[in-house]
Amino acid sequence: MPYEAQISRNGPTAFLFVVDQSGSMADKMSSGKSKAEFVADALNRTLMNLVTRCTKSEGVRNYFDVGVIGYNGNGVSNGLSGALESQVLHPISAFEQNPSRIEDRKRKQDDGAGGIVETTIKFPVWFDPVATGGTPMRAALTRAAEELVAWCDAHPDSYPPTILHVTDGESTDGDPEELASHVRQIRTNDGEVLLFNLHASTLGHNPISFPSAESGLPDSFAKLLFRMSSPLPDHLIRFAQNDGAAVAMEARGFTFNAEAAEIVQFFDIGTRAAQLR
Amino acid sequence: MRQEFAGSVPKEPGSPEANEDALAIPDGSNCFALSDGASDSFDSRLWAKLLANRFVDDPGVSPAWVDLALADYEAAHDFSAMSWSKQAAFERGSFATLLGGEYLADHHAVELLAVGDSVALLIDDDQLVSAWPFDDPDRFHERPSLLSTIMRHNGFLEASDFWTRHGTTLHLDKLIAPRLLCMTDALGEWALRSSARDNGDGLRELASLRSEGQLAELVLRERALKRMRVDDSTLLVLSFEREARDGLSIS
Repeated sequence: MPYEAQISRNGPTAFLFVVDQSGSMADKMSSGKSKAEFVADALNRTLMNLVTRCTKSEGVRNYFDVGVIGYNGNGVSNGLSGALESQVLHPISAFEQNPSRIEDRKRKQDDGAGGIVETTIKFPVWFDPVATGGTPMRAALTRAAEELVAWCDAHPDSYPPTILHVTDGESTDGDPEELASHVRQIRTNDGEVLLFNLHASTLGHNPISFPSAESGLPDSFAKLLFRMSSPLPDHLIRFAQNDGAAVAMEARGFTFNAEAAEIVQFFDIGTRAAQLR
Repeated sequence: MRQEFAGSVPKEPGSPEANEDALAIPDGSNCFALSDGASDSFDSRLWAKLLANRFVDDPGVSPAWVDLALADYEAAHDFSAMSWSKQAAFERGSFATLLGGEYLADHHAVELLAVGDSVALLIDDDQLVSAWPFDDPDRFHERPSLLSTIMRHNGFLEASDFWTRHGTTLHLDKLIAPRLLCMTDALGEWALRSSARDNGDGLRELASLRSEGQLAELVLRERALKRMRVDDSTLLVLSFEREARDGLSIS
């Protein structure tokens, strides 16, 4: 059975975030933040959660290799800066050591006596919002494939890598469907690369998370991204169902018209690989 | 009550220091406890140890009981001196199961408490009599409630039926040679599947273990055959003989 390899320090898995940074990502969401700002916030929070899940009292265990690829009118590039700019994929401990900055953010929480108290928490930032130019999606997927072919060669028995692709528009460098199918054929002995797509559309349509068929999707681009997406493995379906999501056994890793909550849920479910060791 | 066997095999045989299971069974005590610290936790090794040790000192688990364990846990860490990632992981919490029991010699019975998916299998003449908190191996794939260092996750302790849902009493007086096999989840799932698959050969093998080396041999063999999940695996085997009033054993 695929997707059953245990994740350990000797057998890590990889998460590669591929983020659309085209000009339309500057459009505002209902919260008033731009899509680019919200995706950056959700991505930083997800990276923090990945670091936190790997942090034990004695230090950080390298269960994950993680990278971020951004694409926009200037082409495809590493979405990270500073010490993380030299290569795309890094062990998770490198993220722990190298946030680009640590912000103090306010958080309201229950004071345990029926009131609300405001506290300050440290919020590390690795990825800043960018929104400029076109959408070279084929070039971005090609770069992702190059990274993951090399990673799978070096980790043949690991739980396969997961790509979490966030986009809001049509590709401007050609049809990405066939290329996506090639990406999904990259594999380790434990299964094929998982490609999950999140469509941050501005259409006035209710969000649709992890659908089982393209028939209910409102436009051809949403249907294309659905076809580009991997079926969710059983353990992710169980995780999503336990989390209260209505996810059928034939669901694919695709979310349409995502607003804030759906973006966070997409990243959370997409990064729940098998049991950590 | 007599300890027949106690041993543990870490998930990574070369890293026994990373074993997050804890076992407590003091000499001369009628109490025993087993706790399995969750891997996805900040310091579940310490948390599991604190829970198991506190149970054998005082088996009356309650919200106040957990508060005392939590005070010991917090005293062992200096939050202000931690890096941002350790602070975040500390605030996310540590989680662990608790399987504890007390042998009531006068009643020749064992009172058991189980929070999470560490299981106790009662066998007699090498046959499974009952299991607690469940006997269906598929239930190991659920996400059980665990005791947490974050009190808001321990709300189930406040429920009026907490002891009904998590506790049971095993009556031993009609059994010939009762043994109680207490174990953490990977071993428990394997044992319950073995009970159905090979007519209890696995249970007999567990009950006959005499050394930690034998347990390691069994665990590594079954992991290699992909019949047992790779996880810390801890086993405690207890036997019970009823004492007559003149001190002679009667069963």
